[in-house]
Amino acid sequence: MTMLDTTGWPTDGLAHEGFFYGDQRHLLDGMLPFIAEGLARGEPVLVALPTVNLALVRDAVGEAPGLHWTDMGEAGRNPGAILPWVLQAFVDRHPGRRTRIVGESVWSGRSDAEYGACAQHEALVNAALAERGVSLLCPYDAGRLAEAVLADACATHPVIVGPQGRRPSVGFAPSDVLVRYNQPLPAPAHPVAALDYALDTLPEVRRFVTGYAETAGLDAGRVVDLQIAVTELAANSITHAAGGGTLLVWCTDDDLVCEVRDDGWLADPLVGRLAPAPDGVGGRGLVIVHALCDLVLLHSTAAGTMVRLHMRRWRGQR
Amino acid sequence: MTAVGVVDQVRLGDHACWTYDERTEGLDAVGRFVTAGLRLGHRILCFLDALTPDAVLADLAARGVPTGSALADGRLRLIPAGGSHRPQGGWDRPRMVAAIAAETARAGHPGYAALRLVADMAWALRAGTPVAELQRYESQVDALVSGGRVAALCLYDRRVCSDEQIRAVAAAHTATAGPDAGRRRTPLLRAYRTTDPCGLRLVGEVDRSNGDAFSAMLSDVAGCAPSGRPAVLDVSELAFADVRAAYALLDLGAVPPSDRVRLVGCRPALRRLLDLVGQGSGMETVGDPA
Repeated sequence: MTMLDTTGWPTDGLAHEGFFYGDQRHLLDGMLPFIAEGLARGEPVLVALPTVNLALVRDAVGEAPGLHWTDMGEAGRNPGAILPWVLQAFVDRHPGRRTRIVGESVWSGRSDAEYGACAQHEALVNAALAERGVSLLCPYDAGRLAEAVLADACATHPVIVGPQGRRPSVGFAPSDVLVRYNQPLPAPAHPVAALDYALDTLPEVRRFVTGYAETAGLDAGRVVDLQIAVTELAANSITHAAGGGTLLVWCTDDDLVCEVRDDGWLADPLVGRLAPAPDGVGGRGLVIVHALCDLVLLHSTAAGTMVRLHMRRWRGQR
Repeated sequence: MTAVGVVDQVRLGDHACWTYDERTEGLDAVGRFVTAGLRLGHRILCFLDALTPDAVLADLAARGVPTGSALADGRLRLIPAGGSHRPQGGWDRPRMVAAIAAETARAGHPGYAALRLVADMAWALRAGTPVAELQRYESQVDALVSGGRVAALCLYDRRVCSDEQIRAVAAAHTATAGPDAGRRRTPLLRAYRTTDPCGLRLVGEVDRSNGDAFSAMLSDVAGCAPSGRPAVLDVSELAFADVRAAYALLDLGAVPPSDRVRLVGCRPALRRLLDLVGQGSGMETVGDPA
């Protein structure tokens, strides 16, 4: 079979390409030359793949100076954390240098809710890293992922590398994807507890979630993570919305879920998806929320905002 | 009477913000605060305005609290509108802060009792004082109160200020409450000044509701440390710190490699949050992602 064409990347600006592979052999055929070219050019290379693929590629490539590995199944379990805490963090650690990244954020086994956040993530990459010198290749398991997922990938990547070679994506329209996945979140299927909050009841917000978090089996460290996240969202409501909002909490078989609703509007979809500059204030809180939670879902319109946080109940102890 | 339990919980070192919708609620809070102070032998200084000295005395009388000897020997001073802290009737922050600082400097030393301070802020709001100016004032009070020899109760009448004003000003207090807060509330954050080493012992929680007070106390303590020696923040009893508090600690230099402030008793959750905000600010080199 022919070698998949994953070399010849530009030397300035953002290059963001989707890579459709059919099986593990294809994946390796694409990864190896991409990684080798980066190392040959002296670019720091980050390979962020879900656990199984990471082991596969790492075994085949071995270690090299300037080559870094990240388990996307862990670092990217919350798709909203990938941009600030995986991609931007790597680029920022190499100031003044062009970097090269493999980022597989979508895999079969992602829930529908997670997938929506993944599609938003892929769409936001184009604006978020537009000014950065980075070559980003995003593998998609074309053998297992749904047609609709691959169609979204065509809409979020300006270039697609696939069995037919490397070609510009005719359906490239990342803002359409952002609109498509900014949907009202589905109503909870479990009993919900609610609490209204305002500035002088912020501490009660924490007490409220703590009881449910302990009942749901979260360990002490995760309970504090949730306290921080919920406090942050509620404080944002108090600052930006009409002085308060409503907190909903419920428990599913797998997750403890907290949702904050207010009448504010997060008009900028990049809020929380990029770590702010050291002197910046906006978005500081939400970017930390993304780091602390297992999944963050957001629906915002001029009529109001809801942010839903998931904490997995059965994650290994930290 | 409405539940004003949090007023009964205000102790030395606390800087409490009390918001009320009705004059009787404001008087109730002052009455409780003064009553507790008299019982504890504190000196009490009340800068009054809409809540007049006569009304406060009537409230105390209704509680059966004798005030005659305390008024006579200066343990209880009720300073009306037009009093010495604002001779022209307008807002004068430096004069007000200087008056409080002078009282604070004497408080708690041998021969002097601790001080309870009441500030009816209606006059400042009525004068159209900008929010930023009020925040500056309250931050200066934070620095004075955190010495642990003064308890301050600031009263804000919700009817003469906007919610936005209340939010902005309230955050400069270590604790905020209103008549609907209930009896079980205690001040959210307490700060105790330490002298050897120079620093603060923080007890309680920091969030948006008192974050400005936290920042004001941090700046104050960082400035008080002798040169070349870090101020020491004992955070072992700080049960909760939000993202902004972590940034405040970072900005202050409480995260390596800076050594302007040293944290003692840092819980794992706060350590991790500091690591996160440090990474997010690009201030700390993180390990290899492998």
